[in-house]
Amino acid sequence: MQPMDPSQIQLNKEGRLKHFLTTEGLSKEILSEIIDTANSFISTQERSVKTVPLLRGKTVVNLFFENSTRTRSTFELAAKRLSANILNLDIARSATSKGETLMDTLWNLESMYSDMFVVRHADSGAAHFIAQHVTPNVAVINAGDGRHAHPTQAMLDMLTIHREKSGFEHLSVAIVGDILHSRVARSQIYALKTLGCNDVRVIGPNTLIPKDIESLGVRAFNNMKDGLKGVDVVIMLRLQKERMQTALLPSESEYYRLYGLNTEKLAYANHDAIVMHPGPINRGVEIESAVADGPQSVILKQVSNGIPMRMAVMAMAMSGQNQEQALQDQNQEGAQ
Amino acid sequence: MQLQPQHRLCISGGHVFDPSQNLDSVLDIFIENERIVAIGCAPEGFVANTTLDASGQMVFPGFIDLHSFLAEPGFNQKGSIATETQAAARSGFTTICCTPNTKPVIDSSAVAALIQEKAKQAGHCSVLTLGALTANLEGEQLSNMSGLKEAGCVALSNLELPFKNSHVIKQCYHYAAGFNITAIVTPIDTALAHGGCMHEGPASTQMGLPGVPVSAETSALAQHLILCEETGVQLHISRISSARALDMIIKAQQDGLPVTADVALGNLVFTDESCRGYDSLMHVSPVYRSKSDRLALLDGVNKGHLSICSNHSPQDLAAKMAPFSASEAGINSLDNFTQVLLSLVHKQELTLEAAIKAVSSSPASVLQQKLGTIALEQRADLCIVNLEQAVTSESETLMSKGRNNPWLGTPFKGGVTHTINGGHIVFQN
Repeated sequence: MQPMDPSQIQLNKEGRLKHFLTTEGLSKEILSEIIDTANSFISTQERSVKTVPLLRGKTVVNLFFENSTRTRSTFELAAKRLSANILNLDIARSATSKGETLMDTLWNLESMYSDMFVVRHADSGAAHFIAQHVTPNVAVINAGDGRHAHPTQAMLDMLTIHREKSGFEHLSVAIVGDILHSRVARSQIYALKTLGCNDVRVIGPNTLIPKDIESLGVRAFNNMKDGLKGVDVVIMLRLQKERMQTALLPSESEYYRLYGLNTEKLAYANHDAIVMHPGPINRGVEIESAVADGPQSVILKQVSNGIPMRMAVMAMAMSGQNQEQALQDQNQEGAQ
Repeated sequence: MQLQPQHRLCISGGHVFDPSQNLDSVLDIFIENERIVAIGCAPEGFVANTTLDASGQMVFPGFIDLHSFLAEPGFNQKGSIATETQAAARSGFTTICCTPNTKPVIDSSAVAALIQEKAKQAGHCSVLTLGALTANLEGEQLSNMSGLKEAGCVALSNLELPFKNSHVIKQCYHYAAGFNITAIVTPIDTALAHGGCMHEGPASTQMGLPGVPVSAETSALAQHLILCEETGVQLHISRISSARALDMIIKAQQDGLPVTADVALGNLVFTDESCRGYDSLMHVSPVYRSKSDRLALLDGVNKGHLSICSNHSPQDLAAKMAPFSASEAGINSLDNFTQVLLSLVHKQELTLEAAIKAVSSSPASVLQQKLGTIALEQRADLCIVNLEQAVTSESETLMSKGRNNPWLGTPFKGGVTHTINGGHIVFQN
């Protein structure tokens, strides 16, 4: 049996996006189109009437098996600005805790004629699993699965980099911190490489860098001085406090001393380097306030880019599903 | 007094192939009741009640499996002794070892007796029970080892389950050695495995799945080998997954330790790359490792260091309908075991000689049972295989209850046409 190419499941027969599960395996054209589409939505966000009718009459279900207020709210707002009906399900506290399986939950929701699932789940591969088993014509958007992927976050970061640096080809990008557990880092790396960025680095202690990370086409560094040298973009990752308890790190203070981004360490990077963080930030753990709030920080721009980016992938995936359905209808008519 | 009517079977014209007996030619086999009474020429006055024409086909010793989870008692939604032994028989197995992780666990003679009785009733395949090495497989207290041996358990296993500490392992081996009991273990250091669900390497990193490092296997193996050396227990290392573990076992054998080992069929076929796409059918224990591990394990079989077991683990649909790491590990590997094994021979990854040895005479010697060979006065356990027959498994044709079979729809060349257990035809196709 051949292993299925995980990127192919995201595309319809015409090669258009119909689910958005991972940045891995998508072409440069598709990633660029996502960025362009999001860029076009930014202007609509500045108008007094912010909604567009692209998802009118469609039902979007926010399926969050893991708690998340921020990501869920931006998806909700994005869906509303596309004129969709939105249903928020806080599964972390409902059905599955009563013993219902993931499949049971999905089949129940499908019976309510949903058009799109936005899924966050603690298991890597959960969004793929759902996309493989939902009925046809339901789009699945991955809002984070385990350590695997968080493609909308990665793409809003790409949008931010694109707007700040107008391109990817000659950039050096460093991702700092807990790479091991980070779905954001994986999705960023795939997106950056595909968009033409040749110098992607990860920086952290060995215990937070997964084995064979070089297979993703990046270079690993254990210290900030070498890792940040000459970079144009510094992406800081959030450090979960519970990591201190599992023999991954000695202490918060040692981590901050080695990897916490302050003005001194930032000076290793290019003078016009931008500082990014997917949020929420731990001030004094991975970043100091002077940098987080400083002139090189684009952290708040990332937040505002979140909504147009999510609008873009939702609109594109829905359009890919509609196209596939239209093709199926045509084929059926042709067969009759 | 009336004499019992004699059951006489002749298998004629088959290509008899048993590397352990240097048999590799077209020969007739004559069976009386449950024993082989002649190979080549018929004994004087032998009149067969049944003659099986095996011309154009291979006659192998009946296969022996060192590791099958039969799911009964306790897991009826996954399988039953009747269904799983039927799946075994269709793949040419005449003897399979039932793992002790039933509910209740095989740590009492009553459970062992129940399983043997049910297997006899079903009549597809001989079932040898593997008893639990520790009470309730909890890794804490010794099981009633001697009693389990008397109840027919051929060896005692703790599967891949953790021991409370290394002292318990030593005591198990020390105690077992005194009763000439073979201990079986699958070495995994659970702390190093750290909740991983696939091989730690590029694929696990890219997929974001927690990986099981090779050291989880090898560091535990080192401990078992040292305690084997100290206690002198006959130790069988079950289902190794890495090249490094194989090296350590070969070294131990060269040093004269009483150690044998096997590998699961799936680990000879798949690698960690097969996990891409998150197919829960690739979620197994022990995990599929790298390509170089797979090639080293094939080499280990070819050189006679390893037996091959099925690692059969039928699962109900719900157990596999979940994201990769949340699904239960294991596959149904009995239904098409022989086709998959022969596919490795067709691909020239295994020699036919090594493949047959690894599922007949080698496991028989691990179990110290007089089985697995085609010889005079030997129990007539045989399987007849058409190497050229085209076979494709479909979900409906599976005999195991487990639908968790990764080879559905895959075309294979080579099918079992007859399985003969103790002189009786228990499967024919």
